[in-house]
Order: sequence, then C-alpha cells, then structure tokens
Amino acid sequence: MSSKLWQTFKTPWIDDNPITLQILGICSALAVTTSLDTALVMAAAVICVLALSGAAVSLIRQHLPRSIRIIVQITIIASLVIVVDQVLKAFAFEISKRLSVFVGLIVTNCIVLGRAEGFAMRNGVLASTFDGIGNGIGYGLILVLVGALREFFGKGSLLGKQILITTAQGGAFEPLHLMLLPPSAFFIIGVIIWVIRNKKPEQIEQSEFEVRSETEVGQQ
Amino acid sequence: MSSSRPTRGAPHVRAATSLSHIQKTQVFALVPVVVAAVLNTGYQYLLALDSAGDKIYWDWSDRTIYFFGLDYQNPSFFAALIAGLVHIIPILAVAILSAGLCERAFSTKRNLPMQKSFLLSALVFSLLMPPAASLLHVALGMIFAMVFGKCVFGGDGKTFLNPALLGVAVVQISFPTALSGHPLWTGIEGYNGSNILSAYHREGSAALDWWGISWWSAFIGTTQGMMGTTSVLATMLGAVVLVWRQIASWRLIIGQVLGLILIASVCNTLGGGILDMSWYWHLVLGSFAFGAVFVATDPASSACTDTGRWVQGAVMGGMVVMIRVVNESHPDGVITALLLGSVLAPLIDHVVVWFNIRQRARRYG
Repeated sequence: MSSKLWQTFKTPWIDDNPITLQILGICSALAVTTSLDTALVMAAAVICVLALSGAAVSLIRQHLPRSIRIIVQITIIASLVIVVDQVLKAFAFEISKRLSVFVGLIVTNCIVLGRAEGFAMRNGVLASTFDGIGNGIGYGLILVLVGALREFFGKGSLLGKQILITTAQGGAFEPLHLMLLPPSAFFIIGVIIWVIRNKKPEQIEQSEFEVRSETEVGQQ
Repeated sequence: MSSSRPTRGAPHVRAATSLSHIQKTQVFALVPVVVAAVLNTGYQYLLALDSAGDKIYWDWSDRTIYFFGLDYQNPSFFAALIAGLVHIIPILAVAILSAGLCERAFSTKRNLPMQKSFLLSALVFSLLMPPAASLLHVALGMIFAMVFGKCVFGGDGKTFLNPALLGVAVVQISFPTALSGHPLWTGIEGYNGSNILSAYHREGSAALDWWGISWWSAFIGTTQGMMGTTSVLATMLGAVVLVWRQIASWRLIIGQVLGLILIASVCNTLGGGILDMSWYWHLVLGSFAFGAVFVATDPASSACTDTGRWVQGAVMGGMVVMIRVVNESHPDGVITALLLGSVLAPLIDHVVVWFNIRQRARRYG
C-alpha cells in the first residue's frame, strides 16, 4: 500500500475522526450504543456502506451531471443500506430487531453522504474505498468504546456476558441507570473529545465568541 | 465583584461585595436549615427505632447510636441531635472531600486559585440527600457535579446549571431506587418509611392521615424527607436573609410560589387522586421550598432580567406540580423542574430583551 493510500486510510481513525472532530453521526452514536454487540454490528454495517458507496460514487463520478449528483449519491447509498438491512434481517435477526430503524437511518448519516460528496467525487476508486473503510473504522472505534463503557457501567456486562454481579443478582455492583439513557452517550463522547483534544491541541477549534475576563471588562 | 487576581488598570478599586462574601451569607442563611435537618433527621430516626423495635437490622449508624446509650423511647433534644449528626456528618464529609478533590485537581492543572464555592455546593447537595443515602452515591454525584457542572465550564459564575442540583439529578437518575427507597428516609433497615408524595399518589389524601401529617407538622418539618428540605419554617428564615442581603431574587421565589398555586388550582378543578392536592399542601410537602429558595436562586443559572425572573419562577413552580401529579416515578418533581427552569433561563432572557428592543423601537420609531 502506498503511503498516500495508507494516510487516507489511517487519518480518519483519530486525527480526522468523523465523530470526535467533525461531530457527525452523533444521532446513531447515541442510539445504538447501549450495548457492545449492537455497537459492533452498527459499526460493521456503516463500514460496508461507506466502502461500497465510496467505490460506486467514485466509479461514476466522470459521468455524473453536477445538478443531480446529490440525488444519485443518495440513491446509491439508500440501495446499499437496504441491502445491508436485508442481510442483517436474514442472518442476524435478533440484533437487527434491537437495532430497529437505525440501520435504515444510515442513509441519513452525514458521514456517508459527506464522504461520497467530499472525497469520492474527486478521487479514484481505490482511494475512495480505503477512505470509506477508514472513516467507518473511525466511527466504529468511538461507537465500540462508548458501547463498551455504557454496557459495562449500565449492566455490568460485556457482549451480554455478566462480568460484575449486580445488586439485583446478589452482588455488590450497583449499575448506573443513567448509562442506559441517551444523555450518557453525550457525556462519554464529550469526555472522549476532551481527552483527544488534550493530547492533540491542533484539533481545538477557534472559539466563535471569546468570553472576556474580569480584568478586561473592568477596563472599559 | 472583585476577584483574587491583581487589578490591571487604574483605578484600583474593588467592589464592596465579593464572591466569598456572598457565599458566606448563603452559608449563614443555610444555618437554620442545617439545624432543622440535624434535629429532624435524628428525631425521625429515634421515632422509627422505637416503632421498629427488635426487628431492625443493626448497621454501623445504629450501633453508634446504641454506643451513646440514647433513650429512643422518649426522644430528648440531645438524643435527636446526636442521632441527626451521626447521619448528616458522613454524607457532608464525603461530599466536601470529593468536591474539594475535584476542585483542587482543576485549580492545580489550570494554575488558578482554588474557588471555595465547592463547600457551598457540597452543603446544598448533602441537604438534598435522604438521611441514609449511600456514601458511594454521594461521592459519585458530587464528583459529577463538580467536573461536569462546574469545572469544565470554567468555575464560578460560568455554570449554566447549579452544580449541586446537577449532582442530585444524576444520582436520582442513575440510581432510581437510591432516593426513593423506603428505609432511606429514616436510616433503618426493615422500617417501612415512605415518601409522603408517593404515598399520596397511591392512597390519596388518606395517606396524610395515615402518616399523621398535619399541615403544621409539614411546615415546621417534623416529617420524613430529604434531610434539609422538610422544614419550610427554617427555609423561610434563610429566604429572609437571602432576600434582605439581595443575594436571592424575591421575584424568582414569589414567581415559583405563584406558578405552583396557579397550576395546582388548575389541577384541583380537574380533580381525582393527587390532582386534588391543594396548593398549600404542595408548598410544604417535598423539597419545593428548599429548592425554590436555595437552589433556584443561584445567580449564575437563573434569569437576569426582572420579567425573566417572574417567568422563570412561574415555569419552575408550575413544572413542580405538573411532574408531581403526572409522573408517579418522580413523586417530588422539584429537581427536574429546577433543571428545566435553569436550562430555559437564557432563552427567557433573550425573549424578554427582544421584546424590550421591539417595544422601544416602536415607541421611538
């Protein structure tokens, strides 16, 4: 793999992570991360859709009239999402029931359309595929991390296997009910962003509005 | 308001009030509440000990009481004091310790002087805990409150929610049984105490007679409840101090009472079950009074226009009744209502200012 391709593949993991840097795909990150297995399946589904849609859009990019490109991209993405949804329903019915509408909602996931429009429209098939997989991995990493934390602290289990014995079962671990509610994913993603930007200060955004310090206010 | 940092430009004049002065006054206003909390917690505990008899399971606090050789058959002032202190001191100590450690960590990391307001937050937080709250929950709630309620936003004056309020809300949501379990109200395992509001939900006004609660006992605060919130009388004393020293906004407090009366009256006309509870009962039951005076009036997280204060107060007071009558799993809706009010405060201010600008534009062309 050439180093440029490797860069395209690797940058979205942390340096240009779709969730923590671009703040995209938050909705599904809140909804499907109550347990680790749903997070894993969702990550795999998004990786598939991203890779295939990147390749498909990149293939037809020279023949695509500018005015209808978004419609075509959405059609491609929607078709792929339907395929993924049907595959899940056929081979992993239990999980697909728990994921409910959120597999179908990958269509509206900003990451997918963003990569199609922002990358695949201007790059070759191979690069677009790797970019898609890379972004899917970046999304999946955060999803799996949040899912693992929420399942562990919310139920005391990982992948459905009980690790800590809860008080209801006669143990000492009292599960945090908050972790099973969507707001906890906000807190966890917030903390992940906090940690990443502490390690990589170049990711910190310019603030739109500077809070003035007391001494500055006093001088006016 | 003066800060601890040196002044940069002339004139080097500081404001007469300082943040620490305000916080000292707030703690002073809380003194009657703390006294009432200690005495009532102890009194309820001894009463329950008496009625539970030999069936109780002795935990460490019961053993401490036993060690002092207190006579629980005819509870004396001194016995209630000791029993109350045994319950309140561990919670307060854990709250102050965990809050202080967070504050210390952040101030060290940021090279800033330590802000003392964590003491006030820890005190308010402890008073909003039931007497037998688990110390682990207290520590978790307080750490969450300090880190996510205060420190990440930059400390005093930059919080959009009252940190203590956030901490209580997190404990309440994380451990749904933690703040409503029966033994919690007195601190005795095996004793079936009850939150009077959830009892009212189940049994209607008969619950009040069953638990022997008259309006005056609820007003003075000889009922079971969150430690600091039972005595409306003590809360009113604190309110007088805060309003007199112009720390709490009277508009916010009166607004909450009016909002509560309004919605409670509307509910009364609908009728049925807890909807029949009249406004003067809503005022004295649960933690409404304490929340209205000490939590909602936090200057950083409440509206800063006078009209906005009326509106925010009314929203919070109304929401308390709404949550109480509609949602049985949150029998005392105060915490949620206050959170909602604090979140709405900037929006309310924005609308008030916008109206004002439009009116002036109309008037002066």
